[in-house]
Amino acid sequence: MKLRNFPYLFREGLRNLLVNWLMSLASIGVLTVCLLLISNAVLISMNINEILDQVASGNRIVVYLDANMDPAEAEAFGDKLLALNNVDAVEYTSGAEALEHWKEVFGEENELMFEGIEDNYLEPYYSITLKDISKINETSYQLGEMPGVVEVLQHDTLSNQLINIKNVVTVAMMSIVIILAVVSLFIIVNTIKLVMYSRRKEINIMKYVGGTDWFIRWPFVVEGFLIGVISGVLAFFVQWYIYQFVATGIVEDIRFIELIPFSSLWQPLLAGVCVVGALIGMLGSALSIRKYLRV
Amino acid sequence: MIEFRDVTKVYPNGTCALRDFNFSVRDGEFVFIEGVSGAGKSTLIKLLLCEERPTSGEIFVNNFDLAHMPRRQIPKLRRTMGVVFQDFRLVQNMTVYDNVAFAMRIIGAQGRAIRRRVPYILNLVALTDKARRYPYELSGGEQQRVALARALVNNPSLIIADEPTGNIDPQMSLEIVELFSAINEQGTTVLMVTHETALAAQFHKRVITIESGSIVSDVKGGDEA
Repeated sequence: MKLRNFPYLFREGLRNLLVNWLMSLASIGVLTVCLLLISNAVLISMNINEILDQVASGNRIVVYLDANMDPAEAEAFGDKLLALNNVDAVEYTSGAEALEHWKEVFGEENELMFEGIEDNYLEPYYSITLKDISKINETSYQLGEMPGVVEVLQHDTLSNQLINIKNVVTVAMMSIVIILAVVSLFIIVNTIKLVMYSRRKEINIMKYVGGTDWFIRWPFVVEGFLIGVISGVLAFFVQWYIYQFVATGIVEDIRFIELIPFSSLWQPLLAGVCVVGALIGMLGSALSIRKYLRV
Repeated sequence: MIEFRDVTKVYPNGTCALRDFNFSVRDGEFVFIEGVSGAGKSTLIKLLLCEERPTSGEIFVNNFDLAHMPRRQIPKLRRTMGVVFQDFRLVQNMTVYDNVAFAMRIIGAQGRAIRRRVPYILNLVALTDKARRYPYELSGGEQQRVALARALVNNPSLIIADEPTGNIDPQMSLEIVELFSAINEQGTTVLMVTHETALAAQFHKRVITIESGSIVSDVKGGDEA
């Protein structure tokens, strides 16, 4: 394509879009729905992952230290833990604090129970939050090997199940997104084919006059691009509304679930639907015109 | 300019449309191709436009080797010729002016050249006052003149006309062929396919008659040397 022809080709694309407005409207409608389905699948997947992460972050490893360890040394032990690369945060509870906690639990009437128990009776412990929950087994092994650690406590089964759920959800959602994208492309190709059929004469004449394939194709590709971007913007706004509706109307009542706020999603979402829409539109146009260029 | 050497065209379904076809047309000639329906006239046109390739034999048009040239060369070949069809093939939602200008735009001509050339050509076919009309507002003869203007606008050295008078009343037909004749006198080669023997006879040009895919007669015109 020569650059000086671009204004003409772009103008033609825009003109086609407006002159065949009914067909354009049909294409935009179909593509908007397809993009909405795709973006919903992506958002649901992202939120499930986020929720699983939230649940997982409550899943901590507890490390008990030697009860005879010097309290100052025990307190400094946290730095050693933080030096491990999968440790995100640590929380220290000294033996005395642990004892205090249990005294409170049992109440004053049972104070006699604790008579004669010294401050270092209970082991000081750290509860550890991990950066990556899927590496819990490795990290817990590392912790067990550290001198001064007497016991490592973790809830294997729960964390493993969370990892499994996350993987299944990711794979399922990716498959859904791919299937939806292919279906959208198929529908769009068929819609554009109708447009092409109604204009086959025009395309035919262009060929006889000596227009090259790409010169004929470009306005259609531009048209597909415009349809894609318009559909993307429409899908974005509808998606915004749906998301706010779900976030404030339904999920807010469930206390322990928190959705990703829309404010941190809107930029990648808008870019995503527009780019995917434009690609589907352009590819759909380029594919469906092929048949009519064979003259 | 146009040369057919032992051209045979057999379609995939087994129909043999042309058999051992041999003829040539020199620059500046005016040739009528006559024959009844099914004689092979349409196939001849399709071969000339490189819409179909010959099964065997060689075809040369304006120095292009039509039997062997790559597909991407086809637009270049078509830019050296103008084509006029029986059914006009005008774009209905474009004005007369745009229909003609469109042929220039599609090969990447610039705006200034288009604004200069289109009115000149419309004047040539006497349609200047109809430039802003749409094809459906015009008579058959006028529409065919628009088609002719479109064929001429890129200054081709060869005009191919496929039954240009087929949808037009006899009086108009005469005028259309006269217009082609006038264009021919400017030096453009004209190849006109028709089944109207009587019409062709009035012009004393070279007439090639084809029947079931073969040339049965090739009569030089009266005003030819």
